[in-house]
Amino acid sequence: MARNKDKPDIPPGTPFQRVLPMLITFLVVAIVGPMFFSAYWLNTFSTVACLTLVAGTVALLYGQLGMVSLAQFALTGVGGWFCLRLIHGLAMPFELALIIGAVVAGLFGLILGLPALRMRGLYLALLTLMIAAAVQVVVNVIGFPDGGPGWTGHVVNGQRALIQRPLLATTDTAYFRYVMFWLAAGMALIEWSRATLPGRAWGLIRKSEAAAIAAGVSVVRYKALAFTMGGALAGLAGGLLAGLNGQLDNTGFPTSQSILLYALTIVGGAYHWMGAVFAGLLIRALPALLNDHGVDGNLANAFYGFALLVSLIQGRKGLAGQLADFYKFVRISRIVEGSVIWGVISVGLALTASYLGVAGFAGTLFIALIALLFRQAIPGVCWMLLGFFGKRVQDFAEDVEAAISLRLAKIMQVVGLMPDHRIVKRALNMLFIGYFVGWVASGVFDVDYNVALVIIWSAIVIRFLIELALYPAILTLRQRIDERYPKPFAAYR
Amino acid sequence: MIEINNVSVQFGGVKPIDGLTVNLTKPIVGLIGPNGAGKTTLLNVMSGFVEPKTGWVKVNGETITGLPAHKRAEFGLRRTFQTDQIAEDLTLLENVEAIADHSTFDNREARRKAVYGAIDFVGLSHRLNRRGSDLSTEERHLAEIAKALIGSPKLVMLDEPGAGMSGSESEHLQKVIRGIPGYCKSQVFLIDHDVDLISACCNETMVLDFGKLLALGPTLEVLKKPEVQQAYLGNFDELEAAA
Repeated sequence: MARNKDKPDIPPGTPFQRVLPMLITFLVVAIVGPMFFSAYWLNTFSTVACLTLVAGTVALLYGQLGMVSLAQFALTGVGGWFCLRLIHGLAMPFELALIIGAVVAGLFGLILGLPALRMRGLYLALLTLMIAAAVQVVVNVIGFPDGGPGWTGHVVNGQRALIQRPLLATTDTAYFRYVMFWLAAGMALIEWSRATLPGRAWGLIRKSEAAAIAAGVSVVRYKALAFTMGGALAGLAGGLLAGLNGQLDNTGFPTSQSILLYALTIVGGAYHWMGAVFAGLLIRALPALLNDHGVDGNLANAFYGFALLVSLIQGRKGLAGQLADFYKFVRISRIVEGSVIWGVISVGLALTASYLGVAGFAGTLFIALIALLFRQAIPGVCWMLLGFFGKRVQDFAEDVEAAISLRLAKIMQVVGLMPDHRIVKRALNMLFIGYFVGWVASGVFDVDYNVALVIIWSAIVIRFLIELALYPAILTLRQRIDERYPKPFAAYR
Repeated sequence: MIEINNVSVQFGGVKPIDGLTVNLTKPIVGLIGPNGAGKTTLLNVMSGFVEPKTGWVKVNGETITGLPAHKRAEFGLRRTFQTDQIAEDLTLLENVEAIADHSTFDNREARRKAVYGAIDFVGLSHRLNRRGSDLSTEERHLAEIAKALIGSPKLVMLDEPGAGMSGSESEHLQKVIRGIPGYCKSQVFLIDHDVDLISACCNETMVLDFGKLLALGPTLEVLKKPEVQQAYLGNFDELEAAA
């Protein structure tokens, strides 16, 4: 498709406008999340939120400056250690200890960043890897503070003490929202920096250090800023993890997790805040889900390797980048139409299910929503898999699909429906998504697998029937809305 | 006003610049020379990326040799690079603002004026919000020049701004370069292979060959000199003899 060169460009918006979508998302999740999740999943998602923040710092360093830091997870351990130490030793309020822990981790990050001023690429990665390993060794030897004597505060033999959660957030639900608040604040700091002066300076440095120097940018200062900010936010996440269970596990910060977090940040996407969320979900929620289904959680590692391979082949922007690219072409009419129809379908299904007593209202609503949302979000999963058999097989399948789709589209047109040229792809995609969502949902919401499948398929079928019935009316409405509000997310990044 | 006094640069056994002494006074000065003549090295000496082995450089009477590279922007030296340095994922406006972030202005209004003025001056006002990756080669070169004009510089050094441009684009570029001394009262030091661009823009041209000054003077006169033509095109007698 040729790009219209003289189409006016849409401005990226003020920093506030650029941070707002993220804040709204986090707010909605913080409010709505606890209504849906069981206690086990609520704690899992609190951990996910903490790890999202750590992944955000990895993405900050990698996406903004191209620097590979494998020590961010170790800095989380450092922040957690100091937070625990201050609370056990000085009986500090949680928030104060949290912030001091973050500041100390920020200083560690800065020290770590000093060699980064002269190193990059593989050498920096190796150096940070060694630091991560060093932290692991230190933690193994001295342990995390748990109310014991001495400066390490570690109990050798005896009863371990737990720290109290903050007064604001003693219950699981409140603590989840508390973590989400800090996550939103931390990610907003990163995103705000990206949209303002530091982000522009990072942009220059990323392009070429020589050009940045010639422009009068102090490369040292802005690299150090990124490392300090990254360290502090990773440390903050450490304090929050400590608060979640009241303690930290000595084996909780292995070097392998640092590497895994980095790999998953690449898979999630280092250039968009959603990437960090994906990384957090993948590293904690996926193994939890597997365990929930009685599958060994370590199996997820095999999936991660595959996902990393795919994201390295498919493009450097990761899942988040692909999703953002997808939403750039979304029209507002589809969003309005989609929201209204989805809302009607999912609420209707949820009411029916709870009336019949087969599943809870919340669970059914959520399953239906996810099914409808993912109906088209991952086009061509089958095609990607076919790619492993070679280009020729992929092309052949593509041709067959195109031929069948074209025939079907012609028939649809004759009957008076909207011709859909990708109908086969969509059908395959729905098949995949249907089973996948069913599998996830039956784990998270304790809904019977078959019931979940019934919910998903009825949602999709009802959606299809509504489209059939209302097609002529919707089409004119769509065109009128599109003329007034063309592609609202075209400039979003 | 650029004064270069006895500047030599040595990389191991190679001397890209060898005892260069020259005073450049005209508003737009051109620098040409065959490949390996030391053009970019001289620019690197002036922008602080290469320390000369001997000699010094003065701009407007102030010595800049020994000043760290990132302080030279503050002093009022701006340069562009042979390969454009527009960050792909920032918009044009953000690219130019990134430079303004590190220059001093009296107030916000002055800063705004400088940023939008520079973009308008190079003729890219219609591309303000276009991302760097979506700009054409010509637009990127012009954006580079806009970046170099921020913060009332004393000297703007352009390293092959016309590379890869077509005829009509080059004409626009000539207009822009000729306008720079009037726009921000700075001297322009233009390096290019394109003799048309040099002769259209520069009041004065110096020619380097093997790190030494070959010629200096009004552009047209310099280009007519036989030794300059020989340095550029080679010696026809030798070619004939070889054949």
